[in-house]
Formats: sequence, C-alpha cells, structure tokens
Amino acid sequence: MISNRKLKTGAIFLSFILPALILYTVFFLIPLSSGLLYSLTKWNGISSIKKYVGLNNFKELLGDKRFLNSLSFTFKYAILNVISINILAFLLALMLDRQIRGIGLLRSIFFLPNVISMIIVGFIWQFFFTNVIGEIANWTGLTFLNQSWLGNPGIAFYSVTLVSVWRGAGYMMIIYLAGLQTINSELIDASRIDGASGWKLFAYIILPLMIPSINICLFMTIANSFKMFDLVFAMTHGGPGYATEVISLNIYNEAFLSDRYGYGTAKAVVLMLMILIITYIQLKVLKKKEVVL
Amino acid sequence: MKKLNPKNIVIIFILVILGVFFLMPIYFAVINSFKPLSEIVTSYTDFPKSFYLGNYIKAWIKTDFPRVFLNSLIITVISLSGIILISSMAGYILVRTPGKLSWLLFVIIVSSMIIPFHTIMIPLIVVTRKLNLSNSIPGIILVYWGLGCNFAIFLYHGFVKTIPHELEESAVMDGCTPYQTFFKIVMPLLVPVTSTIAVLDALWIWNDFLLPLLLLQRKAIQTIPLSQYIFFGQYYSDWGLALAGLILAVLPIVIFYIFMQKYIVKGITAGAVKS
Repeated sequence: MISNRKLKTGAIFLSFILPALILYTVFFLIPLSSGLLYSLTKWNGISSIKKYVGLNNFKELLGDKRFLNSLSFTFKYAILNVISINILAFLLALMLDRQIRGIGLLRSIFFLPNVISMIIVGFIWQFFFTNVIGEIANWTGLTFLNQSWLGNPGIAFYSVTLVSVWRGAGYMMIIYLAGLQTINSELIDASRIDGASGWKLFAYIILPLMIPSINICLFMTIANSFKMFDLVFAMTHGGPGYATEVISLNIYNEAFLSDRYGYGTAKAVVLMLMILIITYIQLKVLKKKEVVL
Repeated sequence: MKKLNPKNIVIIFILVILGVFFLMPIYFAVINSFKPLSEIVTSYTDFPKSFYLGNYIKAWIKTDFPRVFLNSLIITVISLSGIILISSMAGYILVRTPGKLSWLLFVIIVSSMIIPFHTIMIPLIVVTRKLNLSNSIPGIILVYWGLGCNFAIFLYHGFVKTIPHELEESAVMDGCTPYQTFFKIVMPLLVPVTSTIAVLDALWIWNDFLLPLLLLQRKAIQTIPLSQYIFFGQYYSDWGLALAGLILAVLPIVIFYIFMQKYIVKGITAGAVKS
C-alpha cells in the first residue's frame, strides 16, 4: 500500500515538473554543456568532424585584437551606461515623486522608450544622428552638434551609450519611484521638524533608505550592459571598423559569419565566466552593505 | 493634489524640458514619415506640408504588415501561455514536495538565471537544427518555453511558499485530484505573479530580435522586429518609407502600453523586488 502511494505521488510530481524540466534541459542545459565541449574544438558548425584542440581557442583569444577590443569597449560602455542610467533614473524619480497634475504624463513619457524594440530604437536614432541633428545644429548655431555621430569611432561610443541610457532610464526610474514611495512620509516630516532639509535630508535619510532599490538597479543595469546586442547591431553594426563591436556581437560574427563555432563558443564561455565573477563580487559587496545597515 | 509652490514649478519646468528631449527623436521620425521623399530632402526638421500617407501604404504592403503582426502575436501569446503553464506547475510542485531532489532542481534552475543568452546561443542553434526546429513558428515557441521557464519558476516558487496549505488540503478532502486542486484552487491564487510574468515576458518576446534572427529565415514567418530590420536595410535611403515602417512597427506595442501602463509598472516593480 505504502509503496503504491509513494509511486502515485512520484508520478504526480513528475507530471508537474517534467514539461518544464524537459524543455529546460533540451534548450538550456544541453546547449550550455555542449557549449563547454565545443569551446575545446575546432569546428565550422556544419562538418561532422569536431577536432579536439584542448585550450588552444582560449590561448588564441589572448592575442585576438578584435576580441580584446570588443572586451574593452563592452567594459567602457558598461561603466558609463550603468552610472548614467542610474543617476538619471534616480534624479527623475526624485523629481517625479510628487503629486501634481500632469506628472503621470511625464512619467509615461520617460518610460515610453522602454516598450519599443531595441532594433527600432536603433534605427530611429540612426535617422536622428545622420540627418536631423546636423540640421538642428545649422539653425540653432550650435555647431558642435555637427559631428559624425556614428561615423567617428570615438564619438560613436558616446552615441551608442546615449541611446542606451535614453532607452534604459525609464525602467530603473520605475523601480526607484517604487522605492521612494515606500519611504514613510512621517519619517520625512519628522526629520524636517528636526531641522534636516535639502541636501541633508537626501544624504542622511533618503539615500540610506534607497540602498535596496539602488542594489536592484545596479544589478539589472550591469547584467543588461554585458548582454547588449540589438542596439549596436542596428545603429553601427559594430562599426566604424570594429570600433563599437560589443562582446555579444563579436561572438555572433565569429560563429555565424566566420563559421568558427568552436572558437565562438570559447568566447561565449569567457563572457559567462566574466558575468559569474562580476555577479559574485556584487553579491559579496551587497552582503557587506547589508551588514553595515 | 498639492498647490504649486515655486520649487515644484522649477521641477516641472526641468521635467518638461527633459521630456521634450526624450520625445525628440520619435517626433522627428513621425513627422518625416508623413512627407514624400522630395520634401524630406529639402528639410528634415520642417513640419509636413500635408499629411502624406503614401509611405504608410507602401510600408504596409511591402513589409506584409498584417502577416508579421500576426506572427508576432501568435509567437508572443503562445510562448507566454506555455511559460506560465509549465512554470506554475513546476514551481508549485517543487514547493509542495520538499526534499533533496526538489531543492537540487530549484538551485540548478535559479543559478542558471544569470547565464547570458549569448553563452548558449551557438550550441542552441545546433540543437534546433538537429531537432528540425529552425525556420518554424512552433520551433521558436518551444525554445521560448525552454528559455523563459527558469525566471518564471523562480517567481512562482517564491509566491507558492506564501500560500497557506490548508486550502489545498480541504480541496483534497472534498475529493479533488491533484490536477483539479492545482487548476481550480491554486492557479487563481497565483494571478498576481502570473500577471508580473505576463508583462515582463510579453515585452521580452514581442521585442526580441536575436532569437528570431537566428531561427526565422523564411519571410512568411518573421516577427515585427526582424522584418523591420530587413525592410530598413533595403529602404534606408528612402527615409520616408523606412520611417513609416518603423512607426507602423512601434504602434501596436505603444497602444498596448497606453492601455496597460498600470499593469506594466506593477509588473516591473514586482519583478524587480523579487529578483
């Protein structure tokens, strides 16, 4: 009897979990583990022969200028992007956290870019950068606007980041707004009565209470920065030259344009390790902060 | 509503200026989409002389808009429903069957959430080729089910823990099978998480580009972002047409946003706090 019941609960357990587990295994775990194996081979993706080359792919990476360039571009982009998005989003949330007629409309405007597909965002801005901005420069006399926004490697970095901030800030703004709204207004009033105002109120009351929201947003923006693909693909396609090629685009090109599946997955494994390390450091730092609080 | 004090006036002023900057690229894309090419070339910033609709008609036909819209809709809705179904079942049973196996499965699923798509992208394509799933709508839907379930299971898992067990027990006493209990009693209680997942995953799948780029080569089965990418590449010198295509592509999701704004904001906040 007992084993019969056990069998039955086992069968029920399986029937609930298997659909998800099978799909997850086939489309996530198997690619993940076979990717680790591919990274040790030389393979063009079509041929039935995968030649085992040990760690050669990883050795080659160290001397691959284009890959190293994409690495440094991605890091630079991530740093500027994370800082700019979070500062802008936080400021927007602070300004929007009041009840005035029409403020809802402003909130909607700042969030709007987020619902638009990255690819389309990239094209809308490409049009703006290549055609509109020059004309604005001409009739406003702001001649410094007359630049090759996407054609100049040095400037293209800032153009791409600007668009990324434009699209991403609204999302984080929502999270910061939710954080601000959980702050007890009596606490704010009490500290006002105690003489705290302006900067002091912000630095000693609001900011410490916002640490959880800041952590969440940093976490999300860092992860998003390393996964960026669509925007660059649409705006510059990695160019001029390879100046704006992010890691994910470099991996894509290696596998699907140069047909080097083995080498491409080696890069993908490096990307994963980097993200794991960064996440680990983040969690450590967050834990410490929480202890202090 | 508070009265407008000077400080608030300054803040509103700053916000309005920022808002104008935010809308600028979209504004210029919209006005130029209503101009014939001859008018665009003379000035990119002038307001259109007349609302010329030719670009929209051409873009509608050339992108085969009704078809790609339907493709996007089908892929998003079925992927979403599947993710919700399989993940709620899995998340629920993992909580209600405590044990080492459940714990291990949950840990594997959650820890894989930080692995970026690009890491598994290449072998995933190999898998879909082997299973004959590339270049088909059912194929890409299956892949979305597989890729979307870890985050959804994580959210359901967290929520089921907060649901008291007693309701289910009394349902079992009344003679409900485990499936009846789940679908009739538990599923309705999960609505808050379900709507969070629905919002986040709908935005993800509707706007996703890379997976359709890798899997959907045939024109007849392409989604809006992918068909836009190809269309824009073909007609980018004809700006009016290219821009009309873009605006057309953006319209469905912007309309959805206007009506569902409240739920989107709620979904984002809930999703962020839990993760």
